[in-house]
Amino acid sequence: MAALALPDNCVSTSCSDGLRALEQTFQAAPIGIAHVGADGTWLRVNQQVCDMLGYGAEELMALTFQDLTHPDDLNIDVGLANQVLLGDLERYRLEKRYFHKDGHIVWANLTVAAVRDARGRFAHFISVLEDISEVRQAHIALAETEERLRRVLNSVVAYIAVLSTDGAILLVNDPALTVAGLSREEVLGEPLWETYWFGQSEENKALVKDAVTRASLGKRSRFDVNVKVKDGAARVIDFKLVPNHDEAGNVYEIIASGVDVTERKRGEEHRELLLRELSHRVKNTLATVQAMANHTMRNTGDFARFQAAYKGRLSAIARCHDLLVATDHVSVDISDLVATQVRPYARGDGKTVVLQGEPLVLSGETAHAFGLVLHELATNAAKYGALSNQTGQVQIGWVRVCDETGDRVEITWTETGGPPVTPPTQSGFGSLLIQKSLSHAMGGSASVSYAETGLSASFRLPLHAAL
Amino acid sequence: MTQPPLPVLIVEDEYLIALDLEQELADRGFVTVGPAASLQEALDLLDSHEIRLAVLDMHLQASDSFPLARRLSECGVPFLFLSGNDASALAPDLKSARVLPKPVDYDVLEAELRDLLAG
Repeated sequence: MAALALPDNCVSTSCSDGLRALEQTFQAAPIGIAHVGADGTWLRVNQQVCDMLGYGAEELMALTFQDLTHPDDLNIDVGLANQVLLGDLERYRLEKRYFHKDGHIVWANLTVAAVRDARGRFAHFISVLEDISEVRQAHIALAETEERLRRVLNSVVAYIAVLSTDGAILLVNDPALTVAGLSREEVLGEPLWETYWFGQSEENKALVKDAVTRASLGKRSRFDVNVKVKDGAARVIDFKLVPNHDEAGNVYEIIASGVDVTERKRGEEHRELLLRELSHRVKNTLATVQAMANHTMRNTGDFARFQAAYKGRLSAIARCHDLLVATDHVSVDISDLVATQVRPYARGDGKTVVLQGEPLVLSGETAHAFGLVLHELATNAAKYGALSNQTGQVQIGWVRVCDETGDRVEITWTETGGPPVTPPTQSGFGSLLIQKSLSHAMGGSASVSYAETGLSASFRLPLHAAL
Repeated sequence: MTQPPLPVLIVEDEYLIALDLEQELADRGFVTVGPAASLQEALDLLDSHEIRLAVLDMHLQASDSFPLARRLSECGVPFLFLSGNDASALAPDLKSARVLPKPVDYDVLEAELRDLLAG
């Protein structure tokens, strides 16, 4: 037996067997038991108390319970002990903290009663100490887990609510409230479909109500739904309802969650629009290519000439297309257009083509039509005009004009220094295209003159054709 | 060609395609009216010419050609659409109209036009 302070008379052989049995019980009890004096001195402790607090019995008996009690628990413990001492209280129970000998905190469930002699005088306290440190730790861990989950719930991008089986909101996370400018009090207990979020239309309400009913019967669902957020703005959420089942398989709550997919939806719609637009453009381009082939075929006598003319025209269409793709598909800088359509036919030194004009951006449609015109002018110049010898020069100028006849762009093509010009006897496809294509859809006009010193052409495009 | 020439209204804003349509239909015995590049231009031609048939591009630069199609229906002039889109792009009240995809096969176009006249 460990050093145990028993009054001398009890340790003596005069102790009865009954007392010995009680002593054995005291020591062997699977719970801490101590006798404590009126001043708090440990009078007698069993092994469990020693183990709990980390002291030997003799060490403990040199101390008071106050010495080992956490300061935050001291006043209440001493106060209750005094009431028991005075007989105001028969016993008390307290969850309190002790300091272990090595300094760590021990949580105990303490029960204290007084032992009195036959005349009712206070003899000592009897204290029963149950070590509940593990239980407390588990509680703390649980609280921490709950706090952690709460933070997770409030930090996610999703809107989350827990519903009763009849659809009443039991729990809702912060993002769902914040996005709509709602308070928790406004929505707790309300049926989900009757809330501000789904108040956009009766159809919306019915959709959500129906899904909640199905969830209460155990069926998951997921669909896109419109929700109303702050200031009545509409958003689209990817919405999901999942029933929670208990062990017996009954639905006891429903988890509702949603993620804002408005931007993705818009992106999808935009992509579809672009695809339709692209498909339309491709077919129109194919139709243009077909028309170009037919025209070229009608106007060239043999296959070799067809091939040369057609190849040039096809690459002119391709170059226009490249320019449109390289920019944003809606506008082209006129100097880029001229450079890509005319430079391939100019000689290497780059001095025979002169561009003059302030920066000017043409709409995509105009650039396409005018690009083909430039191509016809350039091939004609390369075959018969100023780009066919060493001395010729082509000057291309443009200017924006605003006068009483309207706002427009005037573009001039002037050839000099080429071989003497003779006007064509019949107008071929190229000159038809140069003269007519701009006026057809764009309300522009063209005129071409065949002076002996060089071909010149001027074009007027209404200003909506330029940007 | 033993039949008398049939005046066909051509509405197409793309100059090259319009010109090609004009020449192909002329080669196949039709008389062409237009080509008109805009809705207004086409409506004006409809008022000032005797039109027996019409070939309409679905999308013109400023608008679609549906109002013209409705006018043609009222006047009992058969028409068909040429389009880079399919029939799903048609206005709901014009769903029964014929739509030929671009680029068009001229033999098919001619057959369709003669079919429209017969029907």
